Amino acid sequence: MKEKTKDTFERIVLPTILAVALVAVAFWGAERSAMAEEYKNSTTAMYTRAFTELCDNVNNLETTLGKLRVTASPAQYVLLLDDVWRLSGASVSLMSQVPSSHIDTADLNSFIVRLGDYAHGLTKKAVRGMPMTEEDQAQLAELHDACIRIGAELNERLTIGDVPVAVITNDGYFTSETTTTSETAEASETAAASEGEGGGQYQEQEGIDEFPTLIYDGPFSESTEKQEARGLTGSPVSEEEARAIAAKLAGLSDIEPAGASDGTIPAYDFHGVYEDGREVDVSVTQTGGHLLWLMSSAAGGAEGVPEKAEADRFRQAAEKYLAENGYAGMRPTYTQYYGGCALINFAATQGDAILYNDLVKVWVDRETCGVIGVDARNYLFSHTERTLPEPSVSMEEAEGMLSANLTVVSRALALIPITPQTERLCYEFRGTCGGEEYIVYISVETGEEEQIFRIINTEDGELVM
Amino acid sequence: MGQDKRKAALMLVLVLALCTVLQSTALAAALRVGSRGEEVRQLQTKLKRWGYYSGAVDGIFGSGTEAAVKQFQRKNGLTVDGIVGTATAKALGLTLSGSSSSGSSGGSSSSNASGNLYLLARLVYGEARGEPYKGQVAVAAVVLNRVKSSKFPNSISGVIYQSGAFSVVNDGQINLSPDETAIKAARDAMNGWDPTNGCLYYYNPAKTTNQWMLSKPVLLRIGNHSFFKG
Repeated sequence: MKEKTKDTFERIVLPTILAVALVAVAFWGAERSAMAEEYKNSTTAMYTRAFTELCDNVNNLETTLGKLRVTASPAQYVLLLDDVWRLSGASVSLMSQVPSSHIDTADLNSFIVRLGDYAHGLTKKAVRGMPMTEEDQAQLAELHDACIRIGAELNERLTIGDVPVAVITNDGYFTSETTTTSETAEASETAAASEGEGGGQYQEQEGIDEFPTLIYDGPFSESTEKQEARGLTGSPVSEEEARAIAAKLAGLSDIEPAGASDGTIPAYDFHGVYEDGREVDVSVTQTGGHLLWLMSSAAGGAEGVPEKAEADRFRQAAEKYLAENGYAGMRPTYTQYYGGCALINFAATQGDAILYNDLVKVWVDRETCGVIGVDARNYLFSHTERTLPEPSVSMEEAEGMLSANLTVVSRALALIPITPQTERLCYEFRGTCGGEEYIVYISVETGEEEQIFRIINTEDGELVM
Repeated sequence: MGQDKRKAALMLVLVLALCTVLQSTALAAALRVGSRGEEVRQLQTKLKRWGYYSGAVDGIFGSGTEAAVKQFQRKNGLTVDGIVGTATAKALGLTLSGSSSSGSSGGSSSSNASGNLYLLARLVYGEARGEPYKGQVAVAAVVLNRVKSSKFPNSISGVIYQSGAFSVVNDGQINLSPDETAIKAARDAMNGWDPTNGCLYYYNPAKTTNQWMLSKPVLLRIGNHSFFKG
């Protein structure tokens, strides 16, 4: 009997169950594979769309640049420049959607970004009534030629159906094709991507120099990216000297060296631990031994905007620290409160004028009132003695030029950035309109409105947009 | 004896096969009373937008959220159990990640984790959660340096989601809820702290075989990462 039950089980029940399971697995597998196919198709469609649109955009860029060479109408000129700016922005966004490695696309990306940035700069010049120079003409012609080349290349790829569609392709898409290196590069890419920094096939710079160098002043220009730190004064200091400075800045008797960084502003890094276990990192510049940044953490976790008296105490603590460490005459501008600290922005001053580029940020611990963070990078980049122009427009006259909708609350004199390389001395009018706060800047020389900011009050403090 | 063994083996195969089938139909981690995190926050935002929920969007699934979910289920002909499983999530247009949300807190609840800050924090958490704090800020700073560079897209989301730029985007780790430390690191970087001194790339020298990365002069090392300018 027992034997028989076992027999039935093995002969009938078990195979039946297995067969059912097998069918179920098969169904499940088919469903999964159909789903995967669907996903694959939809991503492929997105990539193809992005790439096709990118081609369209680059072609339109080329056409627009061509038109710019023949227009004689100032209005048309501005409209066309505006188009270049818009198309460049759209192209850059599309390029980031095409599955090619960011290393391969970097140079083309750079070219298109700068093209837009440059066109936008020309628009600004044009609306101020400045005529197009011969250099601008020559540069536009060069850009047009480059665009013709790039557009033709992209179109060619589109025609032969060579569109990058895999989830991660490493085919060096935007550089010239060399199949010999692609295999090794692919293997290394897989390894690289697996730990998070991405990467891609890199081919030695051939064919990349085809992008012309643009000379202009804008946020993405080469000159801005290669800008020297103007505020970095003094002679080189040794690591030992820097260590003593860092220890003093952190308020410790000694601090451990944590290497040196040879970045935009060469610096020595240090690391220390306070008695209560909080850590502190300090970076001191190799030239002049200036404080580049200091970062620790707050002891408490207070949130929200504090009472005025308390806010004043934080500000005084920050001011005292700055004065003691070589940053005198700094003026607090705006403050944020988060994560148990008050972040106060200080700008340097020259005479009555606030120098907004020369910014130092100071973090004050709300519990201990001690300074737990400083960032002087902006200050070190731009601080130097400026030659300020004599105002030819008085503050009263400037105020008269403001929009009637603005109710002025306070006035100041400020040097504000117009482009990365140029600053302008302006009257600063803080005012309200319809319950919102704004800051309007009027040039002291021309009386022109140079900039408008809107102040956004958040639960963490003020933000300027 | 031999028969028994065979039977055992067969049973094992059977169980494994059934498990696979079951796994495919099993629910992703459902949201219910007590759940916390970003997904709950998303749930509350949606419910609030559609008028089912009037409480605070705090990322905590409490009785208020439960009542709202029930109301939503009733209106949409779903099983009224107050639990956001696959069906309810689908109706809501939510994607349940499966494991990430429950347990880990969705960050500082009071601060308005604005979109970009939170996205950056998620990247930091995915890429560098085992790293020293300075190393976490450094990863966020690299993203921000890329935003400022002409070689990369000009927005935080553009840089992070750029094809192939960060592996955590491909393997989905970007969708994990960041911890307080990652959020603070992202915030410190957005407020200007750049421990990398202007670097645009980083890699883990112990793991990478990428020749291009390795051929570049390293500017500094923090934790397991080497940083360079490119």
